Amino acid sequence: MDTTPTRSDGPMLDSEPTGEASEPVVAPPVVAVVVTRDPGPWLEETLAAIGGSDYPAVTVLVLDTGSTVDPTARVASVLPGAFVRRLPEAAGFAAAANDVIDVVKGATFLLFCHDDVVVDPSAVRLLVEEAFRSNAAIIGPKLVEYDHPDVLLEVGMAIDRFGVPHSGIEPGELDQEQHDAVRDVFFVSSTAMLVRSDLFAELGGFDAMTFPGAEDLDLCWRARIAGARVMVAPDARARHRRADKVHDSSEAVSPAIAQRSRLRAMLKSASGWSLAYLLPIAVVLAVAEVVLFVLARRRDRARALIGAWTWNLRNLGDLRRARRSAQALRRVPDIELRSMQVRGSARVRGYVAGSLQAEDRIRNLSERSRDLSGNASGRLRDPTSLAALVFVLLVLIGSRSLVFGGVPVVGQLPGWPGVSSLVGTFTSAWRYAYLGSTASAPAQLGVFSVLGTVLLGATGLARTIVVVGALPFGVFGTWRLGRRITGPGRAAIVAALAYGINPLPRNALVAGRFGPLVLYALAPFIVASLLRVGGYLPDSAPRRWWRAVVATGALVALTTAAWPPAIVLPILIAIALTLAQPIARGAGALGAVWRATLVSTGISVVLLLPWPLSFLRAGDRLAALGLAFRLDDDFSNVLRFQTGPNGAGVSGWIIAGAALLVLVLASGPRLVWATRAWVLALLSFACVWIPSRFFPHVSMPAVEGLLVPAALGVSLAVGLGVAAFIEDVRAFHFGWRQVAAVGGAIALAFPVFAFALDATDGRWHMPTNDWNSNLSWMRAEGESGQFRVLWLGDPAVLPVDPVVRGDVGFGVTNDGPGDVRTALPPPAGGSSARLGAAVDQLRERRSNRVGALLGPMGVRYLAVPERPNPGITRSNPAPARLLVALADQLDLVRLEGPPGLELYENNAWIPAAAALPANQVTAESPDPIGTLTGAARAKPVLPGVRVPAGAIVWSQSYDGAWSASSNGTTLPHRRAFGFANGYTLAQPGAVSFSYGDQWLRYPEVLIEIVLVVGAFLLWRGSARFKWPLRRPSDEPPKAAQS
Amino acid sequence: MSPSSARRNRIVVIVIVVGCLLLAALVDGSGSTSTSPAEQLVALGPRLPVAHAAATAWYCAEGTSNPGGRADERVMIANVDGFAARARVTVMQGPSQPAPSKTYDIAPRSLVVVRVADILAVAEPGVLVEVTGGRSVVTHSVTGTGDAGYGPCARDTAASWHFAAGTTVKGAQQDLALFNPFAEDAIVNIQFLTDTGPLGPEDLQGFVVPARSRVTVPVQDQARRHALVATQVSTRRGRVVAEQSLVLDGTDGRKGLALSLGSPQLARHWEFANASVVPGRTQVMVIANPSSVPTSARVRTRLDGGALEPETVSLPAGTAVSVDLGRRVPPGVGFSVAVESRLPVVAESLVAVQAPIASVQRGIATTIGATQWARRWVDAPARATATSQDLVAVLNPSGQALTFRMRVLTDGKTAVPPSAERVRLEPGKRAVLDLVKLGASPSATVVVEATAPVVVERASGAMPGITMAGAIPDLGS
Repeated sequence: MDTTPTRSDGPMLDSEPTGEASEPVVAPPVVAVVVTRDPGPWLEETLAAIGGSDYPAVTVLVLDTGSTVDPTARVASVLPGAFVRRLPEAAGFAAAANDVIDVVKGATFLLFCHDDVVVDPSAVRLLVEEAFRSNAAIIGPKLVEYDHPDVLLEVGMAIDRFGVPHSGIEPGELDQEQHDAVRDVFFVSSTAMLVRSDLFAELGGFDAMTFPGAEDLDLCWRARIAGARVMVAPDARARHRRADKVHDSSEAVSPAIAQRSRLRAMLKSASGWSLAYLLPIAVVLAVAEVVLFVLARRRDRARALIGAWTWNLRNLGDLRRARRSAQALRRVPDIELRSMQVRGSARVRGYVAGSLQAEDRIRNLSERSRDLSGNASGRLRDPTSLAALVFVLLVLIGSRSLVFGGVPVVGQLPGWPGVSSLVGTFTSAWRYAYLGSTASAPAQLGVFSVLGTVLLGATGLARTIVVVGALPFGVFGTWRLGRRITGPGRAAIVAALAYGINPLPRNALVAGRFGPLVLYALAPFIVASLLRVGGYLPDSAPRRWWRAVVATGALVALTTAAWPPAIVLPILIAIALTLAQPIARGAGALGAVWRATLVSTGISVVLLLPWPLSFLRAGDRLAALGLAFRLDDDFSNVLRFQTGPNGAGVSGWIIAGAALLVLVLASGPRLVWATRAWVLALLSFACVWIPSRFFPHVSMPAVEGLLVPAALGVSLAVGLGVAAFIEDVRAFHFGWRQVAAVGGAIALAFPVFAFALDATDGRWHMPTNDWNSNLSWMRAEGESGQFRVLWLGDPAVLPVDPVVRGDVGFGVTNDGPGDVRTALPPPAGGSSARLGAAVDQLRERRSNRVGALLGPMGVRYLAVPERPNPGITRSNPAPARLLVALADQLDLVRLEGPPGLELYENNAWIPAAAALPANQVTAESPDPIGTLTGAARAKPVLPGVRVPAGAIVWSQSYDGAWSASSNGTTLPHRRAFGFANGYTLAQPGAVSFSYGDQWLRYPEVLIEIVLVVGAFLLWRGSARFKWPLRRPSDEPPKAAQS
Repeated sequence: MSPSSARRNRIVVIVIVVGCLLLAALVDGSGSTSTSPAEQLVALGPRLPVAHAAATAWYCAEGTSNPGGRADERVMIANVDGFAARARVTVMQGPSQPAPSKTYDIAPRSLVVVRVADILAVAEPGVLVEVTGGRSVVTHSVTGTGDAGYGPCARDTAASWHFAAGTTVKGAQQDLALFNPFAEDAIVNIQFLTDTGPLGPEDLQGFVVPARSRVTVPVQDQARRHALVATQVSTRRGRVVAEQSLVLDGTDGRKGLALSLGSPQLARHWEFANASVVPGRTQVMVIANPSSVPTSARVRTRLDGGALEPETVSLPAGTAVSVDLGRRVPPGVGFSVAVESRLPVVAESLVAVQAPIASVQRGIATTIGATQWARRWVDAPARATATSQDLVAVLNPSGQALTFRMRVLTDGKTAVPPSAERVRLEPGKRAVLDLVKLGASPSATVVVEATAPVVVERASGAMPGITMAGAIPDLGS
């Protein structure tokens, strides 16, 4: 085949403008390169559009890649001046386009076009103008649908860290000029792309092995790292037929090929540093995806994923060469490209956006809305439904500031960082909490990662939803549970409302008790699930026992992830049922409940593995189990759930009183259930009151969590009372029962009123600010080196999960007020015990140089709050002895802290990564009265910054897997200050640290994912069976009938 | 279920549920059976460190180390444990000045004397002594005007300090030394309670004690010509150590130097174990009431051979009152004194020895009373000089008899003099032990151990001069 480019009407390609030679050339020449193969009827229109461009210096080159029919005649019929070059059949778009490097000379720009694109007459001119104006090397137009030019297809593209494209355009999004700003983008599509020809040649053109699927991404990525700008000029528009998708699906790029192309692009263009962390994550994600696809029976997708990796492995040699040449051009570090990359996973975003935007779903939703509104007026005639509606409104009103302003950081309610940080912490083999340990990361970080990913990286929103949603979710769960215990209708709604107006969750919010809030939300579901498995509920499903037990275990696991003491909730329920058994003879199978309890508890432990294994080493650090509080509640407070500022004194009594009424009103099965509910409540009350009364110095879980079963039991009792009033009291003659029932119903208005009052401020009395905002300046102190903040004081007010020593709680955050990454402290043992020992010396006033002890641990600030939050006036001052001890410390300087916080700076602190004179670093603990010059002469070790020769201290717990390197060599490793990692730096240089056992963590994570997914799939199976689509009102509960 | 069994079930449930609730309510209202979580007493004042203390700091405020200084200072570090201790003595002279230090090893059961001038010669030395290892106590002495003062250094800085004794009569020089060992400035208010009422000199309100420095306030320049001047120091910011020296030049017949470490707290009960009146020796009790309301105090004098009726003293608000203890006590009879008041006050005794007593035994001494009793007390050094006459008075302030013994630690050895091996003390009685007769050397440390809490004071004479001070208790904290 003759591959010499010829004019369609004969002569050779001349890249100079086609105008007459005598005319001055004012426009830089552009060669439009149209690559085609067996073009459809649209080719002529494509060529005509380019030919009709108002840009004066466009030459068209048609590259034909093995069409069965020579298209030269067709080209000549439209553009007689165009050139046609026929290439071997095997050439794809990228390889064909690269041909222009050799055959086109003198062109300033190359305009690559698919043969199904129709550019506007002004498009080429606008692109060239913008390229000059913005000094862009690659620039693309706005792409719209051919048939519906008002529908957007692309306006430049972003990618995620793994090279997956993200357009930001929703399916079917109308063009209302909302994306018409000229801007930098990560890449533009090769559908229509103007490229500076010299850059194209320097880059070596497209990488043929990234075609199809990522040739444009790859070209732009390499241009980006070479320092070139890639832009989109939306004023320039092109209509795209998408012939491959619309007309011939066989031409469409398969996901498998696109996947491997994108992977190759990432492996080529990402820097070594980026690959060091991207690659492991990408592998884990890919494995997880494969598992998911296999479980979902999408084996083709699983094969495609595996194929993407194996293909790149097979072509490793070529990949390395391509990477070398790509990296040789690097002028820009990856960090500067981050702004054009989206956080999280673009694939998940695309899936969610696609799912949410699906038209049929929207239509469905609107139809359902119409149905609902049609039924609403009828339902509102029922006073109980009206009360439920009022409750929902009150919840919305009471939570409005939290929803729109965010939930402040208070107590054990720390902020959530971005998804990548959460995932990084969860998958890290090293926990950076306290002084660092090899303990597994808490499972809750995995849950938060998933939530953040589902919400497209909006972790703050996820946190708000979880926290604010706990109240209505718990109420919903109680309603569902109530329907099966009290019977459908009003009684269930009243039970749910009694659960909702209980001050417990509001006070948990104020105190920042995240775990108890989650327990509040999920406890009704756990109880329901367990009762169902035990045959206590009418829709029990013994045939699906295993699945139901797995579901129960999963619920318990989810709750335990947030609050470890929740692991005993099923056992507490089983004990309550056992104690109530003498009264409720014959109802329910106690053995089945215990069997289900033990099995589901075991399953929950398995689902949380390997995190629970850490507890085996919990030792004296009960805080790792959430046991960190000293209870001092008197009985009246316990009975009224008065654990904080929410709720009114009298209203608490009324809830308890209303719950007691059922014992005199109910009969038969309702009395049996009331007995069970009350036994559960009494057990829960006892869990709080007995330690408060008899063991005030024993560490216990947060009171708000311990009282959740009581709140549920009392609420169910109230609901049963209503059911009894409706059903049982009719059987009695008129008398005191009727009067008491009516009185009880009227009295319930008081707690509702208290609930309404608490709702008025829109945040359930939560403060408007937090320590995070007050101490945000600390984050700017990072230039002085990594540091830690040691929080000390009453465990009830510390904004961390506290460890308790004597009457003092303490916790550590990194580089400022901290976030959820340091939640749930790792178990005791190893070097973290030294921190506790230092705190002991402080609280027992055994040293005036505790600052010198804490200094090598990187503790720069000591914060002693006297309230949970600066906005709360309620005060829990730290023990006076501790305050005196702090004031007596010779190395601490008191700073002006926000109200309610005593803040000290440690003059003897050493950055957590520091370079010191060699003689200042000892193998053993520092001498408490030794010279302090080391602290003054410490230099922070920062990434890429040279430090002088001497000793390097990395104040994470000593572990042989830690290594440090500088100047390309690994530094000798030893123990420093008795606990930390020390290294000897012989020559000045930048130092970096790495942890060698990271590879051990990935299989663990994989197993966790597999276990959770397996449990999820089992639950799905059982859910279909367990929740039959019937109206509960159609059939009275069997338990009630019995 | 039959109606009768249903009724029975209902009753059982009600009894159980309501019974549990009522039982809990009853138990809850019957008073706590558990340990009260009330605030533990924050022990202040000099005291023996707890065992296994990592680093104990002692602060010696008063004294000078420059040549010809008014009160040449020495620091004594006594290790009472069976294993070695190490002490770093740092002399601070100002926020931007270097603070030189020296480290000393102290053998078990031995004592090291450090002359501050050997570390740094400066007019305003703030001496910080940090000790690790064996449990040790730190005391210091100042000499001048032919007299000397011995006393414990402070274990803590504090936000308030109280003195009762003091005078700015003609010929008196009362120096208030304020030591701030921390890295930030302290701001203090100083007030004087006189026999005519309170004085708050403007210059001394918001008075800055710079970081890592010691400053001296000449009280006689701020409260001129008052027979009684009780100094009160409170900090607005930071914490300091306050110590006071009083020099009398003999204008009113009294001559000598007295040293007293302030009390960081007021109290309703003060004990003084060692008092006596002989011709030429006077002893007055000065009681200062810093509160804004008047109160009264009862001074109980317990004679060695009997008892006197308690004497009630009115204490107007913001004043200091002195009680002449010799007025009602027969000459030559030793006694102890207890001061009990309705409101917290500070009580300090002032002893003056003058002619006809031999000149080598003349001088003045002040002692702040004891507010805490302990089973174990340390007195170091046991003797002021090789020629001094040194006594240790042990008082049993409780209502039950007890026994005590005295151990003498010298250069690593422990000796229990036979006459001090098992001494019985009846309630309210005291015993005075002559350390010269017991064979204690100047490098010895005395440890008194009793079967019940006691109060221990030391007194030295013929050094030349006299000095009195409380011993250092072991409060277990």
